[in-house]
Amino acid sequence: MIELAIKYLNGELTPEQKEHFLSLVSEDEALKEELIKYHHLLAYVSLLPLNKDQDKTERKFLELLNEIDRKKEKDKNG
Amino acid sequence: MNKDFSNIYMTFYPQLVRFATVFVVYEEDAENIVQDLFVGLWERNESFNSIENINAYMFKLAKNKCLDFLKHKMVKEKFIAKAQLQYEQEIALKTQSLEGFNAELASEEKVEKIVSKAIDSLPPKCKEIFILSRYEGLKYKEISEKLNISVNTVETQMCIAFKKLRHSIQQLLD
Repeated sequence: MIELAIKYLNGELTPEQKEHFLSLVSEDEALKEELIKYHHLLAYVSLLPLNKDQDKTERKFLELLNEIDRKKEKDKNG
Repeated sequence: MNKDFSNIYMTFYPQLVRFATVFVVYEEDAENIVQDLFVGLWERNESFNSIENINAYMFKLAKNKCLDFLKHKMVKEKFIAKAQLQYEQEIALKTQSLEGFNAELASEEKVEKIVSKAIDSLPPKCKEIFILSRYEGLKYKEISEKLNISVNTVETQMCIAFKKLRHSIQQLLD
């Protein structure tokens, strides 16, 4: 069952398998708890910084500055 | 264009649209159904002279077209309802998961070290596959092609990775 949970979390289930898995989860509290543990595991794994983060973060920061400028301009013009 | 066909269209189109609207609710759908009906007639190049009761014939065609439409709509609506239900279930699941997640703990520096150490301690192939999946965002099939291994192997290695990580960071998950 854990194999299914892992495939679910990795987006690897077919629509039919996903439907079946979610129905199992809704009927089995222990499976749901286990799934949530693995979900938390992924959340912790996502915390690690990546090399490729830098470029994207810089690009998004520039977008943010542009957005703020546009907002300021809009406020100024009333 | 065949004169018979034009006459039939001009005579029946408005009536058939009104008739279809009664059953399919939206006029736009009814117009499409009736238009489709006439396209079929045109394509089949039928001779209307051989039809004994053209009125009955046209309404029977419209009735069948409306039935097809409603059956198709029913299947579609069931699919949408099922997808909506599944979406709601996943949102509920993720909400429950997030509510139980210790965000304060996640901000602690030691967590990064524990997770990093846990990933580093995975067997080399297992680690490579896990990183390609979780950090490069590759699907199992893409990983299998990149590493020239079977999808089953990727699946197995991912299971091993998750189970080992689960064990290694157990202290964070309790």
